[in-house]
Amino acid sequence: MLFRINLGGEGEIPGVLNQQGRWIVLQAGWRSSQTGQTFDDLVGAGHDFLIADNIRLPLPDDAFDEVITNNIPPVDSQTWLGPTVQTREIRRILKGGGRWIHNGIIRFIKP
Amino acid sequence: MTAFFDLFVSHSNPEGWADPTWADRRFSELVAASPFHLWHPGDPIPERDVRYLIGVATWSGYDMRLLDALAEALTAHPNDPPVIDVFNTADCPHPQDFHRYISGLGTVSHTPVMGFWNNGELKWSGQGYDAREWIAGIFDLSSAEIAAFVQDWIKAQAHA
Repeated sequence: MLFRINLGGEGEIPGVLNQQGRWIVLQAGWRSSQTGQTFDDLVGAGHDFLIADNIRLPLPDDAFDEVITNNIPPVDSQTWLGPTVQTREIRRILKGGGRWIHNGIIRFIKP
Repeated sequence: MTAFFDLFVSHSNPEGWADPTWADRRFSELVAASPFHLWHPGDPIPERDVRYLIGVATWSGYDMRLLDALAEALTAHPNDPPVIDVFNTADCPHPQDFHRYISGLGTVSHTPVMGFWNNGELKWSGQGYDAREWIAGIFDLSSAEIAAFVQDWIKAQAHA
């Protein structure tokens, strides 16, 4: 079984754990960019969410076969939303041989 | 026409990862060659007729595809096109910066952000999915097709 997480995910990939920042996804009126579904809609449809900031993901080392990042600000930077996804966290949570796929393109394979 | 979408593509490939601000630097050049006008806080707001202001992120395929689709729609109807001002959300490093563009917008968690003025008065504002749906409806575009275009592009990279 593959363990996959979409950092910044909004339920657009079936069967993948989605990570979102707390203040963003729990804000009243938040809706998925792709489908317009609310957070409650997505959870009700069976999508799993991890509510956590990007600096320190509450996940163990070497846990995931695949990390996905789609339509996110440049990694290791800062926007009005706060710190963006951190490369060191992606490298930490990937298993050996695990892949980071950004906008559909393999960005990193953990040795 | 995929000019703005190419900025999203640049965020997706190794050259873009090495120079993550390239797309934002290129954005203003693309706007200058488009039917849109790059708006800065302090620039005048037309006191007559309608005016749209759209804030987009170059890393959002949805936003970049939206601009391409809007540009195509304006080109197809060149007579008396409405004023569409745009800005790059990269110019808003802090949440409160958005209020210099669209007052009363509230907390921004999604792009695009959008305002609509009529005779100099702000009549509508919104963000994210709602904003894309709203402007797509005005210009007879399909928000669902814009989203599908981005998702299909990402899937195509995975199968390349």
